[in-house]
Amino acid sequence: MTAWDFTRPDAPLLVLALLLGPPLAALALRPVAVLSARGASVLGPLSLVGCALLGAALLPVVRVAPVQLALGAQGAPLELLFRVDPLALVLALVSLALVLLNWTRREDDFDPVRRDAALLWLTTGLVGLALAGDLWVSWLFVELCILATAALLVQERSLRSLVAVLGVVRWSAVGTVLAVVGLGLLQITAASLTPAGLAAVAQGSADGDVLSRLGFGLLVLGLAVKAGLFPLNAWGLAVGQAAPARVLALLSGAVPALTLVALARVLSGGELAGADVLRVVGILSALAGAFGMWRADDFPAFLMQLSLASIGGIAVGFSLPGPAGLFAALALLFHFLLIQSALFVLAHRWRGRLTDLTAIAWRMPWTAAVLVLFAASLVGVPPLPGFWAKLMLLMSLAEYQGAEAMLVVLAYLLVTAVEAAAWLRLMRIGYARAAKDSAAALQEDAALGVVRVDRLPSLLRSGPWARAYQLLVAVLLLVATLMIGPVAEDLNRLVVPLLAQRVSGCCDAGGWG
Amino acid sequence: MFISGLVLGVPVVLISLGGVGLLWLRDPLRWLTAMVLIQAGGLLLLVELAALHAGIGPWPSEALTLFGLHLQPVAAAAEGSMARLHGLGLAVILLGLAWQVMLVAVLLVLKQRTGALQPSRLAALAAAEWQAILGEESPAKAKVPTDAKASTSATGEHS
Repeated sequence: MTAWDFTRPDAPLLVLALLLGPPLAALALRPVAVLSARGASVLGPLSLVGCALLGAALLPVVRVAPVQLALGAQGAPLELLFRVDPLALVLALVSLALVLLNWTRREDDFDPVRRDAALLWLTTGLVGLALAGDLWVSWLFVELCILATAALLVQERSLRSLVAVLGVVRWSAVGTVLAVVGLGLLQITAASLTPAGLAAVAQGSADGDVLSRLGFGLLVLGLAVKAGLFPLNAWGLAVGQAAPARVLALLSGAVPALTLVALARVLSGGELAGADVLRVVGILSALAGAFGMWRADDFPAFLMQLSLASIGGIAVGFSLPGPAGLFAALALLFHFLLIQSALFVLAHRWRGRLTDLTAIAWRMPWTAAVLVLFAASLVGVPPLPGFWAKLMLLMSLAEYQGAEAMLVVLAYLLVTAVEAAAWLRLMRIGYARAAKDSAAALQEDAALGVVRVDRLPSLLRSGPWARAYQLLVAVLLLVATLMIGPVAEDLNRLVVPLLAQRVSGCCDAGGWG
Repeated sequence: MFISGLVLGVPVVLISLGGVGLLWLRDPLRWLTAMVLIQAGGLLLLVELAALHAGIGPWPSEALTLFGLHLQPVAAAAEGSMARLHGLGLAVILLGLAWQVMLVAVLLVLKQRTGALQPSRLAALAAAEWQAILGEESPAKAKVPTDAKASTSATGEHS
């Protein structure tokens, strides 16, 4: 037995430490801040790094066999079930990395300790969501994520952030009621809400299945509200205008992505109504996001809509019964999370109108080149990784016959075309030559005695770490392009546990399942 | 049968009223009432589902039949399911309270800052603040008395 062999009996304790690290740090922040402000400022990042190291150490262990953990006595009301397989652990690690990436302090923070605590609770929600063993636990941690996000918004203390919180509370209540009724109905028809328990319901007689189908459909809708999928994302616009870029990055990236994976674990190839609901909501989100990108006036809104379009495509992939759909969805998901994190790093500075970025590419050529690379991969220009992921999704969609499948294929092609048009519009602005209007405006301002000077490049310039991260993501994309075979094999290993949890025999290509 | 339908109908009506209220009403203060209605309805529904699961009387099954639904009882793991329903109820109470406290706190702060809670006024103020952010604090509009010229040297990036 090696030191990290996962036959070791203390593996569940390591999982527990991974789960409890962020909330314990959140609770310890205030007392530590009383003793040392500097200590409090590093406690959060240190705890996240510690959790990431624990997760990395657990990875070889869960590759041998998944670790299952039940917190609480058997039958206790709040028994929390966790299942740690390679996919769950990778997603937890990605969540930790994304929070660390967005862990920046502003000088005008009203109460940094409170902000750090909210970020740590958000991390708790994300890690718990990644490792959740059944739908009940997934829902609980999604709620925690949204609560923590609302707390982060409140701390912005601007009028628009407070108004945005009102929208979050309002819509979150609607999502909660849908999810709770759905969970309640599922709970009385299924022995458990684990993938195995729900699979047993899906394979049971159709007579008693009405309640479970209804319950699952309501649960998907409830979680879609929390994930901000169209048309249940009415709170998104106000939040997009109010939240700082780091919160937006997590809210529009990690939270919906992990929620979709939690749903994908229990979707039984369309045998529960949730798959159909998820597919419809997914394609509507992709369309709404693509057209939203086209119409966006400011860079954060552009990125929010980009996230919506991407998450919509991922939802469509997860709703498909076959392994190809799952594979494509996971490929899209990791590709999206990687690029989205780098784009939102850019949005820390690019908070204004898109027109403010006029001719920026001539002044920031490296940043612009990286942006072009990201855009090309997101749109699906061959041979970049995004192309393979999108092609896989389209091919898995094309496997199914019928008008509905063709409609989804056509809609997704339209989404890709509109996304490309939106990116071209942004590039056109960025690569525009200095406009005569700007010179005229300068002269006009000079005549008025106020010289309007183009300080744009220096103000829009990201910090050295941010630029380094963008370059790193660009290099990773290029490496993945060159090594697409091994990357696909690794991804396939992550898909296997997800497939194993789905109902066998659900993957006939003759229909939607 | 009528009583059965009524018993199951009450939480459904409460939840529906609360849901419609949340989506339809524009006054944030009334959202609080809608949230309380939803919470009460959700709890009542969970209690009834737990009763149904525990096999307390035939009325829940009859009530479901009224709505054209048929329940297939799950004999196995009934204790686990009951515990989970109780857990769900507990989570509804705690989360409902958390959201209501947050709503009240935000409304109090907004009342303090704007003096009114009319939705149209709040929306207008928030929009004005956003326009100000875009228009005045936008880097492109920064005004400094200098004759610096735009160049790659200002950004640290070189072609």
